[in-house]
Amino acid sequence: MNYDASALEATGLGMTYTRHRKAVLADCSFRLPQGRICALVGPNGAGKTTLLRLAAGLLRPTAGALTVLGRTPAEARERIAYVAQSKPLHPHLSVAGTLRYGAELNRRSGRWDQQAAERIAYGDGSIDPGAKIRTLSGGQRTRVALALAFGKRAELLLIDEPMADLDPLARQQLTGALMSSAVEDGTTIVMSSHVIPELEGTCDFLFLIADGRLRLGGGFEEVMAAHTLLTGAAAPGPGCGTVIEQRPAGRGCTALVRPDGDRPGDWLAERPTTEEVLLAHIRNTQAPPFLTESARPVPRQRQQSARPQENAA
Amino acid sequence: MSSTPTKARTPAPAPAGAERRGTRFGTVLQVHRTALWIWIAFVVISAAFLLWLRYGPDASAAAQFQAECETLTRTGRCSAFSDDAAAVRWYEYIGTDLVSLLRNLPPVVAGWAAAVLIGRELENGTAELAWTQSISPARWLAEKLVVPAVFITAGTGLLVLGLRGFIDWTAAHRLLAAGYQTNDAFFALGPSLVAHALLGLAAGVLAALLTRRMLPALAAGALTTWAVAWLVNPWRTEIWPAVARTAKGEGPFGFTAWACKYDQADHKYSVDACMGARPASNFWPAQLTETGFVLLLAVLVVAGAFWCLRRRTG
Repeated sequence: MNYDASALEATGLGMTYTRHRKAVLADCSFRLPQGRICALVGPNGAGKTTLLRLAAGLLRPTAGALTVLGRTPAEARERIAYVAQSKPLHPHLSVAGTLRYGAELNRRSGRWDQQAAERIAYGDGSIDPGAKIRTLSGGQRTRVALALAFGKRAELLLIDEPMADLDPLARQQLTGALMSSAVEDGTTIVMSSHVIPELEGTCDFLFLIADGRLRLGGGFEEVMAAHTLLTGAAAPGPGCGTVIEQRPAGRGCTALVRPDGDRPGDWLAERPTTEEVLLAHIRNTQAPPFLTESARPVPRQRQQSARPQENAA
Repeated sequence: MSSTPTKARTPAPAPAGAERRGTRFGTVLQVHRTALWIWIAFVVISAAFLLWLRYGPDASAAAQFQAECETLTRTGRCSAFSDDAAAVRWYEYIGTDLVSLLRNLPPVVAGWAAAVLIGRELENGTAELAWTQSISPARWLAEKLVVPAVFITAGTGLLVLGLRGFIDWTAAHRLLAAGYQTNDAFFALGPSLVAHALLGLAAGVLAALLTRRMLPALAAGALTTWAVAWLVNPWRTEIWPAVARTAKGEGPFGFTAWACKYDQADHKYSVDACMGARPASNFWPAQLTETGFVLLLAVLVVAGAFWCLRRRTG
């Protein structure tokens, strides 16, 4: 297995906000290779935002460790960008003033790209540079918040619910901008969402979190290909692999399984849709988690031997 | 998608040192521009008012009236309760009233620092926006402290100097009424007021980092700052002995004991002036001790604020 440099790597990561409450994230171990566009999926309150905030260096994990681009999140601060779900901006600054604010905050690192930021902010011509942030609509604010993130020319872009309040056209434009940034600059992008169809065409990597734990992780295709939808007369037996979910369908039974060998002959096997796979894992949190090879953390010994290559690159 | 060809993205060369320094504090000024203008307006208007009090027509009229009444044979016109003495009576109290006003400034500074400077940014997430834009939380907090501290020191310092000059002038022209309030104002008006304002800044910042919300932070910051001033005030001159006897004209705290000339020694507010007063030579020892103590407190509070921020963020 060739271990590419990791954008994110977590071992036993856990986060508890206060002592008396249950952990928001527990025992998450995973790896996200660089250059991927990764979807972070999960129901409300699953821990998606907490995971992104940990990666952005805004929170300290209470258990385990997380490295970002091979460093601690604080050391990687200049190389990551984060867009929070609420799209926080100073309401009394103008749009141009906000971009200038971003430029000044990034001047020390010398990474700011004014053109890239302006392209996102003024791309559709609906935003006047002199307009105050407080006069903008929700979607326009999202645009400006994303412009700040793009202007930073980050190597890792963490976006929490980016498209929720954008109209379809703006969504398409910004998705295009994200894709071209990933293709041209090799930016790794992690975006959380619970709108599954939105992610399907864009992302090539996937993490599913439910109830604070990692349920699925890996390349989008690999994860989907590892699951099969079986339809038959009876419930699938022990020979079919791991059953994630089964439900009656007509006179028979439909089951989403993770086959572990040859599939039995008397079942009709179909490729499940993305939605079916994700929803089955969200509903059944007892199913064993599934991580593909590329999404597993690099074992300690290999990590050490891989380090010189990373440095050379 | 825009069809503008994207340029090859070579990172821009790191800017030169001078440019870096020039922008270091720009973001704080940009975000808190309104507060900056309000502060500048407050300082300028107050300073102008002080200059008018000191050099305006009322000042010369009051000084002249007082001088005449002391040198010429007294007439009914010189009675403190006559209409002609109204200007003098105003000058008796305006100085101490202005000192009281200035002493209410540190809690206001604390409330602003707690609610606007830090609290609002933590509450609406713009602090985190800055922390994910190449500014570490510690540097962000340092900038948030240094820039206001410079303006607060300059502004409060200027007002303290101006007011001190005015009070000394009223004292020299025997326009100042002696009493508890004057005694209090005389010893409070000095560099320690600047230190209290800086403590207010630090306490407001710590309150905001602890509560992370605007309104609780505003209340906690302002109350703490007010409480520190309230606790320190009685101790300011207590560690030095009082002067037991002050003959009329010799004066407590270097002033003429003007109130005593109305023979009000049995009145509550002038007891201090005529019986057990503090000598004016205590001013600098008392002020420097207090300034040192309050600044030390402010440094500890700032250290607490950095610790609190560090514990919270990665």
